[in-house]
Amino acid sequence: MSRFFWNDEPVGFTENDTVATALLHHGVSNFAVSKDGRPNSIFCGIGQCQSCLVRKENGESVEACLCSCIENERFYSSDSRGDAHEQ
Amino acid sequence: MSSDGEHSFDVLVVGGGLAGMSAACKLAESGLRVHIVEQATTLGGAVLRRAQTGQNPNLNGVHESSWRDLMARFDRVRKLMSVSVCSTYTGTDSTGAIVVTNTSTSTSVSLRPKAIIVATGALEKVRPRMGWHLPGVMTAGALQVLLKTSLRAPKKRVLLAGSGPLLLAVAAQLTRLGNPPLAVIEEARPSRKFWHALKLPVGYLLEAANYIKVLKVAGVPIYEGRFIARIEHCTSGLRVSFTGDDKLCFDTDFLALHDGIAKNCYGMRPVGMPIWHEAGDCALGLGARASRAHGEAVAIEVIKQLQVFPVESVEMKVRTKELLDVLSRERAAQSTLAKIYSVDEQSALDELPHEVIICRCEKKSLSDLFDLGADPTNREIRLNGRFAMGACQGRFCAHWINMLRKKAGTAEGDRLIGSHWPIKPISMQALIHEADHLLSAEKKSSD
Repeated sequence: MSRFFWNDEPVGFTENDTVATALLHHGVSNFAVSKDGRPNSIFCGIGQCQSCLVRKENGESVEACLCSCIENERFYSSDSRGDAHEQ
Repeated sequence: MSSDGEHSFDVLVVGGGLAGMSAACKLAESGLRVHIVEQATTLGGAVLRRAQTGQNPNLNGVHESSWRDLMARFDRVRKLMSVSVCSTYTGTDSTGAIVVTNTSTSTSVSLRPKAIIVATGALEKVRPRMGWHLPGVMTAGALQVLLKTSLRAPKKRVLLAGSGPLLLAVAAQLTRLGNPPLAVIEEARPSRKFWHALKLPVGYLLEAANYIKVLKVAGVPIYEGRFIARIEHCTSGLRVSFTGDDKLCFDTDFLALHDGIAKNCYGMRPVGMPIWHEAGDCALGLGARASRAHGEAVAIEVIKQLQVFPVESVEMKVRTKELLDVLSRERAAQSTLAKIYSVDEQSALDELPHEVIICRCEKKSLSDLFDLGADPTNREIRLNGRFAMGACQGRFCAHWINMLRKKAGTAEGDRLIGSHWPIKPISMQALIHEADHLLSAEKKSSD
């Protein structure tokens, strides 16, 4: 099985997984921290709710539900409280 | 004419689902060059979502033959089509150029097609409930897309609740993938209204009978007339309690909610765009069958507007009539379904406890809304209350806020959300990329 890294921890994925499905199968359902400090996760699954945004290594936010997994790519939970990706 | 790298094309189709593909095929069959942008990694949309490897576990049921037919047509006119996946319609700038962003490369291009067909699909309606913001709660449509894309069911407990036939469909798909849900808990009482069902097209009845059979064989309980009282954390995941005297309650890992589908008109109709159409569920919210017909009908309209043929052919007139018939049949079927699955949403909203989250993005509660006064204006709700201001731009709260305000007899209209672009968040880098590109092109032409 291939793997990517979630907060530096390896997560296995199949060629059909999106980042969201791989994380859910891995047992991760907290994808981000929202403004009030509560966790966010996948909700609409089709790129409309923006609830599953995760952060790529280059700082960009992507929807985990639409994003393909890439071998050895690093994803991090976004923290919208401090706009971590802009720091 | 537009140019997008090596491709040039006449019509831009946004969304590669049933409506978009149906429109694109019709356009290309008339000799028009078509560019399709799709936000996911594969064509198919929510209804016909495929795994990236193209495998299909026969989860699409009756819609599968529709897909095969479209793909066969698509292949025949392939040389007139270009497709960009991982790409979204971002907006239309002040000069009328359409900005399309590729989210995997963080690059944008601006395009000037002769016509644009927006087929971005429906919005899934989910009514706020106590605890619906907790991780593990998702829409039934999201769960269905997860199943169709990854071809595996999460090895976790799943509960389905809310209202509408999609709950049965997803429950049956989960069962087929080896993980039957704990239960399906429907708010309406469809079995008491079975006489309405006799008015449905036979395809609908067969589809429903098939789902129910799968669930019965697997022993999945189906409840009716039950509303969620609250969703909360418990030691093993989520605890979902329901209304009723028997204190019905489930501990689960995932809860999939669904309250029907709605139009998704959060795009924008730009001033000055010569030919702009919305096709399928984003415009109608009538489901898969109607979307396919509407996509084709809209394509015929575009073909006429672009004057591809000097006169409208008899064949085209006949086809338009057939498509309109399909649409009116589907409209009738959906209104029958709405009667079968009728739920008093206003009462359900009015009974919500004040601490329930209404805006999922900014986690604003019902009491935050009430704190704005008896009849706040749209601006007050947005700017003071921060409702409909989050990353989803009000897609999941504005409808309910408007219903809650109606009760208070609001003087304001229900235009809580405007038309702003980008229609969803994109990185600055993606925009700057295109701005740089345009500036250098401008410089080159002035030199």
